[in-house]
Amino acid sequence: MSLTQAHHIFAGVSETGINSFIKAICSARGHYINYGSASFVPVTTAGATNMASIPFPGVPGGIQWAVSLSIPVLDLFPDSSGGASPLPPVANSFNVHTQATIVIGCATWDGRDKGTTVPLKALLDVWALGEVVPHYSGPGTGFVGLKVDSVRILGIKPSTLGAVLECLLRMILAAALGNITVPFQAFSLGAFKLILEQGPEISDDQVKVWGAIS
Amino acid sequence: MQDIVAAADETATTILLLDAETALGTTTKSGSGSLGPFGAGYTVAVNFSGGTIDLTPPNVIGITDCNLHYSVSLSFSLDLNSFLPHFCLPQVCLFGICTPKICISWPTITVPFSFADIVKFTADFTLNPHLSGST
Repeated sequence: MSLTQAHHIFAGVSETGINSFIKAICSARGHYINYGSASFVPVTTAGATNMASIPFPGVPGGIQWAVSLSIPVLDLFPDSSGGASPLPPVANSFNVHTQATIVIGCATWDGRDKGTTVPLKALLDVWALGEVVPHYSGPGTGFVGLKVDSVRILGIKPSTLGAVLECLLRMILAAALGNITVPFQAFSLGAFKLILEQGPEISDDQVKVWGAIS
Repeated sequence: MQDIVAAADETATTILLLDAETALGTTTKSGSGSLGPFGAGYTVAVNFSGGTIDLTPPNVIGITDCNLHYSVSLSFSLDLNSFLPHFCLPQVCLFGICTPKICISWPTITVPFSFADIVKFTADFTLNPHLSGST
């Protein structure tokens, strides 16, 4: 079977290529995976995004916090973890593995005395399952994005706390990966317009698309 | 495994060929020179159209029936003023009124020559990639 099958154009990107792409983006633009309030991230830089503290009545300055993700590593179907992943990818899906560091500014105060803030950190091993979603609006126009469907964090008790953290990190991971898109112009190098006819599909550790050109 | 794999069939590469011909447009070259009373100039224009791609394993890209349109324009000139004597009517004054001195210049004789034709050709190529950076 030819690569193009019944179509005129084929493009496939392997998981090593995608991981190189994600590593390059997250290394150069760490603000996509590092967030924190003023105590931890005073100002937004290329490496981290400043966020508001969590306002709470009676807590001076609000609750200080930070969330940091290690550079996510994608594993496209089939599973390449050798059984280590609690969420192995199924057909047309990918697995994401990252480590989330959640920091809370543990503050003590007394009346007008602002007291002290001690950072408390928790390191969580995060596994997620997702899919590649095309956003196609016409020949040569659109992009391919990553969508996170579910998250698994091992060893959290009670299970309800685990569900809360999984939902929290699913939202954070979905937002972080939502910044990473591949426009169709990247496939065409400006030489032609890609007409998406099939895909993206995930198989053989690759994201595959088929189409025609105009 | 390669990071990126891209493949195109003969239909797609033929479209790319036609797009490339359109993008290339018409290439022209012109020039001129002179030697004493003699002058010469030329204009050459070339453009491509049509053709289909044949992909042959393992790495041959064949272009079939591609049209090379060319036109050549040549011109030769001879400046007669350079070696023929000038005719000048002398100034004549009559009752204080003078006519201007009138000189007649010889023309430059130009002989143009133009030719245009189409060459239909078929050729086989192989890609020769060059990496211009390490990353």
